[in-house]
Amino acid sequence: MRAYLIRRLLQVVPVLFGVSLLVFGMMVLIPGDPARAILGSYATPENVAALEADLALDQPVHMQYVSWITNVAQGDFGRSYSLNRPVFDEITERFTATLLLAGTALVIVVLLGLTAGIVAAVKQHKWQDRAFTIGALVGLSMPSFWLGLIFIVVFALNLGWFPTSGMRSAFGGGGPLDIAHHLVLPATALALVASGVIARITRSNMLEVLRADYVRTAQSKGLASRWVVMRHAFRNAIVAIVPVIGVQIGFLLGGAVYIETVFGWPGIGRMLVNAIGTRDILLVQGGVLLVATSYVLINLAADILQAVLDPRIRVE
Amino acid sequence: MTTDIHAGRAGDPLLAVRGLATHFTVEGEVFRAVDGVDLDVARGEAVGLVGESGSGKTVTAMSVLQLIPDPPGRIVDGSIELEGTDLVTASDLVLRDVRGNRVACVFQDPLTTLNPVLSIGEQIVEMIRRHQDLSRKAARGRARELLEAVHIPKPERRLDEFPHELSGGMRQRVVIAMALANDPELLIADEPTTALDVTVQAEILDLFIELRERLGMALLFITHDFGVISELCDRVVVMYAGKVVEEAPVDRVFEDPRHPYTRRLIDCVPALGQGARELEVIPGLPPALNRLPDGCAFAPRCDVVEEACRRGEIALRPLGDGIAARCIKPGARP
Repeated sequence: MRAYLIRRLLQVVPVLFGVSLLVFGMMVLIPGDPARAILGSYATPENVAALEADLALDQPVHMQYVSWITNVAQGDFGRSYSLNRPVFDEITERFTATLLLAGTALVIVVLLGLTAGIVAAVKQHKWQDRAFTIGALVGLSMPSFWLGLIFIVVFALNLGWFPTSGMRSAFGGGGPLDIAHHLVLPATALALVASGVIARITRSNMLEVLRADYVRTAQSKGLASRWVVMRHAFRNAIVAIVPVIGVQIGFLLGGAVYIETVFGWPGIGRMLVNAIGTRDILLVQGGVLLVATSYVLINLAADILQAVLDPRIRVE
Repeated sequence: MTTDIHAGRAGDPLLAVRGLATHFTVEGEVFRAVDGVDLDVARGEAVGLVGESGSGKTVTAMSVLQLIPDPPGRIVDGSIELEGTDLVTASDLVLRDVRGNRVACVFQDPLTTLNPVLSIGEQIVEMIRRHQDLSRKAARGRARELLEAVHIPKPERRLDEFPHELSGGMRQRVVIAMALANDPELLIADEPTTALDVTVQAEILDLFIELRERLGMALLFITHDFGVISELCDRVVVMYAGKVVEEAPVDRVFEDPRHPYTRRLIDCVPALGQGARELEVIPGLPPALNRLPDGCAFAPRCDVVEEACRRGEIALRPLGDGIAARCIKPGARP
C-alpha cells in the first residue's frame, strides 16, 4: 500500500507541472502585449513598461515561468486590477463558496445516484428499474443551467419556497440556515445531471457483480439478501464507481460555472466568467490554476480510495 | 413420480427430492434443464451425481438450496424435502437458516467463488456468526481451526490475506473450510476439483475423503468423472438431458452398469497402466434441452438403440438391490 501511495503521489508531480505550464501559457499565448491587455488601451507607455518589469515580461520566457511559479508557490498570484485586491484573497474566498455548492451537490449525487443505481439493478426489469432508468436518462439529457432556470421559475418565482439567487439574504442574512436555504436550488440543479451518470454506472456495475459467483456463495451462506447486496455485491461494485465519482466532482466544479451564473452564486465559476469579461488575466490564471489543481488532487484521492477498497489494486 | 426404490428404502432420507423440474426461459424458449428428478441422500451417505456438461446435475444441486437465478431459471414442479421441510415452498427465513448451516456448498471455481475484496477471515467469520452466537474473537478462533482442519499452513496469517494472495488449491481449501464452518449435515460439492491443476485435484479429493471419514456428513458430489466417484461415493446417480437415467451402489455400477449411457461413461475413464489404449469417447452431443426427442433422450447416441426406444416416455425402472435404470433393455451390450 505504501509503495502504491508513493508511486501515485509521484505521478501527480508531472501532471501539476503540465497544468502550471498551460496556465502560464495563457499569459504568453494571449494575442498582443499582456501588460497592455491588463492595463487597457489607454495606458501610458511608462505604466506598461513598469508592469512588464513587475511581471518579469522583459525577461526570456523560461525565466518568466520560473519567477511566476516561484511567486505562485508562495501564495502570491499577483493583484487583480479589476477588483484591486490580491488574487489569492479573491480566489480562496470564491472557491470556498464553490466548494460549498459543489460539496452539497456531491452529497446529493452520491446518495441519489448510488441508491437509484442499486435499486434499479436489484429490481431489474421491474417498474423501479424502468422508473430510475427513465429518470436517469432525463437527468442526463438536461443541461444543468436550463434545469436551474426551470427551478427558479417553479420553486422560487411561482411557489416562493426558495430565493431566486445569491448566497445570503441582503438583510440580516448570512447564518448557516440562510445559506442552506439559498443552497437548495443551485445544489440540486447542479447535482441532477451527475446523479444520472452515477445511477447508470452503479446500475450496470451492480448488474455485473450480482451475477458473480461470490454473490451466489454469499447467498449459500444463508445471509439476508440486503446483506448480500450491500456487503458482497455493492462492496465490489463501488470499487469501479469511485473513480467515476472523482471525475464527476470535476464535472461539478466545471458545471458550477453555469449554475453560479444562473443563480448568482458568488463562486469561482462566476468569478472566472466575470474575469474573462474584464480581461483580468491574473485573476483568470489564479482561478484556473486553483480549479485544475483541485481537480487533479480530487482524482488522486479517488484513486487512493479505490486502492483502499480493493486489495488487488495495491499489489498490481 | 415417486418410484418404489425410494419408497422401499429403510428409514427416512436426510434429503428427498421428488419430481424436481427446473426450467429456464430464454427469449421465449423453455429449456428443461432438470425434468422430473428424484434423488435421495441418506444421513452420512455420499452420493455422486454424474453426467456430461448440460445434463442438469449442477441445476439439480443448486435447486436444492434455491440458488437458481430467477429469471431465467425457475423450479416449476416437485418438492425438495430436508427431513420433512419442503425447501421449495419454505419461507425465505427458513431457507436462510438451512443455507450454510444444515446444507453447505462448495462450488466449482475457487477463483471466482470467494469475494475478492474481503479477507479470508472476514468471509469465514461472517459464515460462522450468521448461524452461531459467537463473539467476533471466538468466531475468528474457530475460523483458524477450520483452516487448520483443511491443512492450510500458517492459518493465523491466512485469515488476514485476500483471495488473490492464495493459489487455486488453497482457495478451494478455504471454500471447503467455510462450508464446514457450521457442521453441515449435507455438503453439496459442485465439481470442486474441475478448475484445478491435476496434482491439486488429487489433494482436494483426498481432503474430501478424509473429511468425510472424520466428520461423517452426507455428501452430494457432482462430477463428470467416474474415477472420482469410485474413490469417494457410496452411491451413484447418473443424469442425462435433465433426467436420472441410472442409480446404483458404486461397486455395482462399475461391475455391471445397466444403462448404456452409464456404460459408455465408465468406458471413458482412462485407467493408469493402460496407456496404449485409445481413449473412449461417446460420439455425438447431448440433445438441445429446448427440443428433446420423443422417447429416450440418449437414443440418437446409443449403441444398442432399437425402434421401441424412440416411442413414448421411458420410466426409471427399479431393478432390485437399490438399482434403477431408465432403459427398456437394461444391461444390453452391442
